[in-house]
Amino acid sequence: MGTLIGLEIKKLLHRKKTLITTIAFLLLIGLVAFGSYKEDENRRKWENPEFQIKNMEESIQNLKARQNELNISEEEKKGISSDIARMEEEIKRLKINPKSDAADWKKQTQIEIDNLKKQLESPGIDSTQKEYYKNQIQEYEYLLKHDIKPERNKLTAFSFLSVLYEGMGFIFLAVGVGLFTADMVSGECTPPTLKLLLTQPISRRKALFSKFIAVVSAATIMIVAIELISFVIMGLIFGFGDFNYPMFVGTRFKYDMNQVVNGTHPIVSIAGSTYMITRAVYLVRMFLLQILAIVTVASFAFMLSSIFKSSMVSVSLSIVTPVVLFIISNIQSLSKFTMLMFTNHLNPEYIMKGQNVMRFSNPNITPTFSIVLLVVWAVVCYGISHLVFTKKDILI
Amino acid sequence: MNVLEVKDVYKRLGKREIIKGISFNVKEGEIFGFLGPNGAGKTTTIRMLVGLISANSGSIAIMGQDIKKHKEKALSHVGAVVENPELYTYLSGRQNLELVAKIRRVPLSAIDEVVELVQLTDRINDKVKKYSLGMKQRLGLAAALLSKPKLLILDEPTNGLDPTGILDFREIVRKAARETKTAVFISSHILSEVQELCDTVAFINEGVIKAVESVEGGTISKDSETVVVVPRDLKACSEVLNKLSYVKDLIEKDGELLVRAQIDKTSDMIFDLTEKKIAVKELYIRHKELEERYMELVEGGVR
Repeated sequence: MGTLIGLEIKKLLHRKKTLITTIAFLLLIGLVAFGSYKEDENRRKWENPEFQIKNMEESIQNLKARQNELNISEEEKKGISSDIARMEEEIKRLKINPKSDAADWKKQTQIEIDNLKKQLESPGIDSTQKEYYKNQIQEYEYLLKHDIKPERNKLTAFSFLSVLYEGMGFIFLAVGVGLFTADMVSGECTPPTLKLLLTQPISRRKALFSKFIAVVSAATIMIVAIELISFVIMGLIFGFGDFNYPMFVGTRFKYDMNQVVNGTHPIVSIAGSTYMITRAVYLVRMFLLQILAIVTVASFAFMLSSIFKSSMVSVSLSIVTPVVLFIISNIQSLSKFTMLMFTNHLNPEYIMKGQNVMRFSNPNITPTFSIVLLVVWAVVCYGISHLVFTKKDILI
Repeated sequence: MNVLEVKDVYKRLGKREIIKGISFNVKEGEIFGFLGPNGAGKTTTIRMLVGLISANSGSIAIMGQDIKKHKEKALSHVGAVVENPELYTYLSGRQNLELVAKIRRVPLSAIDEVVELVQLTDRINDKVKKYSLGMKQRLGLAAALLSKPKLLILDEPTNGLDPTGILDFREIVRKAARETKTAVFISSHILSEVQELCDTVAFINEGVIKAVESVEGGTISKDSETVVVVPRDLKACSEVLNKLSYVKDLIEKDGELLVRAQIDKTSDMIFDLTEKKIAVKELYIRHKELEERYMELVEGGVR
């Protein structure tokens, strides 16, 4: 079995397709890295006090011009005046002590905590907002306690990875891994090298399983290794950020039975269900979920490749199917069906943060639900390819 | 000892019955020819022998191991090339052989030996993509021979080989049969091929084995042979020949006489004709027995 897997990996590495997919992935990473860098550059520009002062002075002039127009009400004029006053105040502050903001992040954070606490006590907020404020407060308090400076949107190796996941969650995993896997079996039909393989003294069951293990491990190693390398490179250039930085995950949801919006009960978070983990733990979970996603996508494409003799058919189907599933996932009326499709559970961030709940308006899509769903898909798809492959007459 | 035993095998593909109950045995060291026209069921039979497709009924056993129940054990005795030798074109010849060697747990040193045997030493490290059809045939044969199998199955093995290649190929197969007692099963539609090489020949057509006959010294053993006589006077000659005791019958065809006579009576025939002053332009034995038999069995008579 080990020999067979080794041989399959060797075959994979000798194919052009492997090189092409790897290059495509590297390009994607390069693009995401470049994009994040540009975004970060913008952010720093906005945070620059001189740039802020210049912007605010421009706004003040615009507002003053607006004030002098004839057709605006007294009330509006008053509002504009107070805006102008506020901005002038801010400009004064920035001019006196341009660095104060950066140096005194502790004081600033404390102020924000106080503000959030006030908001939390204000009447009329629902439990989703309450959960959000609570988490924010918890985050800031944790940061103060552990002496970690808030990163906000600063570019770090971590934020780079999470942008990469968001961009990749669907596109690269579903299409890239699908493409990589979809001709594992059918690719041996033209030219029919499968005949050489299957006339050797090995059972079809083993031949198939070694192919599956080979392609899954090759895809996993390729993706995870490239991600880790790019993570280290980005970290060395832009900093890794703090590994103990708090992340909030696991929020559970329920229907709010006390309210009706548009004829249904709105979905709210369950108070106290969210919990905090460090970023290091978050990262590990993200990688594990990603590996599960790779396995599932691979089993699906693998199934297609053992059903169809033509690699053209299996490859195109493995690309078209996820794209179609992704498109119909936006149709609300089909959400009961589309929420069961594996393509909607490939993004580790979505799973951990429960974003699918809102997308499909169903509070039952918990992380466990997503994980079980992916496992079921993988097992069923591999089971089908096993049944088809071990039974069929090889007539190629 | 029977290396391959095929009993009452039937195979349906879709609605068509391709193989309608065939049975035969191949013994140790025997070269068995499987002769039939296109679409007779040769490749289907071979596919069943190597477990690529399964028979609807009947049994196939290799070295006593049933191909359905103990496929791995049965196939460990088999080296096969089914239809064209399909190898991994993106790997080199050597890498292809290494692949087979590793699966079959054959020491890698066996590769050089077998490569030498099929005379591919110069090109073995090239990608198979760059091979000619003949070279692929040689490599396919090498892959089949690598594990020194008890049963060698070859499907139209001389396709794409040049005349020297064909001679080399025959030598390799004979050597395997003689030295390692390998049973060889060769399917072909090329008569001369089978005539040259095989000990036994089975004629198959429309999924049925029409006959199994043994071939000795390049001919099917039988008691009569066909002598072609081209006389100056057709009528006089046929009158004389008809009276001879060892002539069984004769046909006139395009100014020639096809005489079916007892075996080894050609000299007598020449003496008798000379005695009766019959002028003969040409007289020879026709060495096309297999072809005649083939036509008889497969196409329904001599054409």
